[in-house]
Amino acid sequence: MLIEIRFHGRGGQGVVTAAELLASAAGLDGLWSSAFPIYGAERRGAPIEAYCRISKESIRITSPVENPDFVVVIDPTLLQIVNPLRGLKPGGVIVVNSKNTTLENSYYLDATSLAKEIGLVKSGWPMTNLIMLGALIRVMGVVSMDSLIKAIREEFNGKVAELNVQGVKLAYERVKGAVKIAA
Amino acid sequence: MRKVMSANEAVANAVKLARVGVVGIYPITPQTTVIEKLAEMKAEGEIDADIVRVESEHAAMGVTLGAGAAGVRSFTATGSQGLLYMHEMVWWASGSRVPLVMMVGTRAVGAPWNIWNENTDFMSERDSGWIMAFASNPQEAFDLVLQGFRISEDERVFLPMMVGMDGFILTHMKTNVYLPSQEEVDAFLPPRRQPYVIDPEAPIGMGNIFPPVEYMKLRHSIHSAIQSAESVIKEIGKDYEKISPFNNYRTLNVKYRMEDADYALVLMGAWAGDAMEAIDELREKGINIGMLRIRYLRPWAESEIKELENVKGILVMDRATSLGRGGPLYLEVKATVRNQVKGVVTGLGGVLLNKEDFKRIILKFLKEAKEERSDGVEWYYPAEVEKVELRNPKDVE
Repeated sequence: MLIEIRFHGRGGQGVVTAAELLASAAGLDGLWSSAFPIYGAERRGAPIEAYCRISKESIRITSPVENPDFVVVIDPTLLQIVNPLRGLKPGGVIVVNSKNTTLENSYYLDATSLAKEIGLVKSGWPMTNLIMLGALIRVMGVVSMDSLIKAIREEFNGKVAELNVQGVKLAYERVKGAVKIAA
Repeated sequence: MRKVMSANEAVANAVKLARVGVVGIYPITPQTTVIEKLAEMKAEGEIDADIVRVESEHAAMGVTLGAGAAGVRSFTATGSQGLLYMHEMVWWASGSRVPLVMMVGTRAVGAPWNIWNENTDFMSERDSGWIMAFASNPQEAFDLVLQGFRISEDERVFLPMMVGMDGFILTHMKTNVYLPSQEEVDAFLPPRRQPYVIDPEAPIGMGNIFPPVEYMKLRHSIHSAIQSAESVIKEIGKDYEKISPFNNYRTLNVKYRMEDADYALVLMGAWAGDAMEAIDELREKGINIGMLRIRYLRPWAESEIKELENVKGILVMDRATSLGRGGPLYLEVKATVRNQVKGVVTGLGGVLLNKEDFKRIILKFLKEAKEERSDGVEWYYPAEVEKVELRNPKDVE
């Protein structure tokens, strides 16, 4: 079992943190994981990608994920700018931050509205990175909600942690897909 | 305890568990999060070390060396331009025979500016008289830094040790790392002992002018110490199994599927993981290739490398260059074995390779080896780069 996930978003949206927290949560579930970004001359707003691999065995590969099983699109405007779906494995799944989607084999969650609803806004930006993890773990069915919450509380403190915990729980309930999700 | 962390965090934890007394710090990407983590540990009261902020890497090594000369276990970290700026003090540390450990997060060297991974910075210190190890995953980064203090402080070695790791690819990769307990580390790593320490009550001179013969003898003693470090490293590696049984440190370098190999790939660092995946796939097609991963550049374990003479062809991949000559590893291997050796220089300045690239490189090499023309150095660009235009002086009017 090797699950490969690629995250797409923009500088400042917490793309790298999302990949890293997923890896931490998988580790807490007793799985092997690795997460890393491709660092560029990053600046706020520039397209960013980050990777996470999860396995029952130790992971040797260190190169970027080119054929993901899951693609997480934190910023849907990127669909028109870069190609987040490139190299997606046959049967690969897309999880997109959107009010709806026509993409095949995809799940969607309006993470931006959810972030605003619960007040998870930083410097005017709705923070959707971890909320999207709530949707992703439901769709993946590999990493537990308990471990995700624990990983969030290890990384963040106080209000930020609690808002994100609330966010991932709501995301888990609200994510919708063209394919029926197992309860 | 096993926890998901980056190689930089793992290195900071090794420094903590080693009860380091002084850390000279100056930031440079991709190493900065090591010293940030150590500063955070200090602020949280988790470590007693003096974190000394200085104005440059030259001074960072000055502080680290000074503390070492005073008998204190000391550590610093740098890379790229920082390592180049420190270069003078790097030599001063080994020449002074002062044990200390430095982590190098590798990165390309300017001009032009480039923050991405390349090993040329690390390789350029190969003549400086240090013990030099290179990690291939965050666990090994932790293990080598921790072992580094004991190797460096061993009376048969008494030399500084640097532990390199691929910038970003390892330094920033978060994965599961096993950390032994403080009690286990205390049992593995005894308090530092050294014959001479700077003591204001009993002053000594260190590094004063040496006449020609004395100087040459000192250089000779460093040469011998590096060579004798080979058995010390194996001994300490075996002992390390008591506190962390997951990796094999009984040899300096690491063999993969070499038992029945007709051909050998030689390289070092994080891309060994992708290379192993490629080797497994090629093996399924009946291609008998194995890998020797260089974990120690100094000492250069000649007997381990010499075993390569049993294969039909050797391919050495370098993420570094000695410009105009090829890769430093290629040159080292070529100077050690009698076989034909092919060198590939690639992955410079952050150029990324994947499993398919390794397969492509290996298959081309096998074809050349069968025609007995697998010699010389190739510059390899990944497949996406369809045409790479090189600027030659003759093209410029």
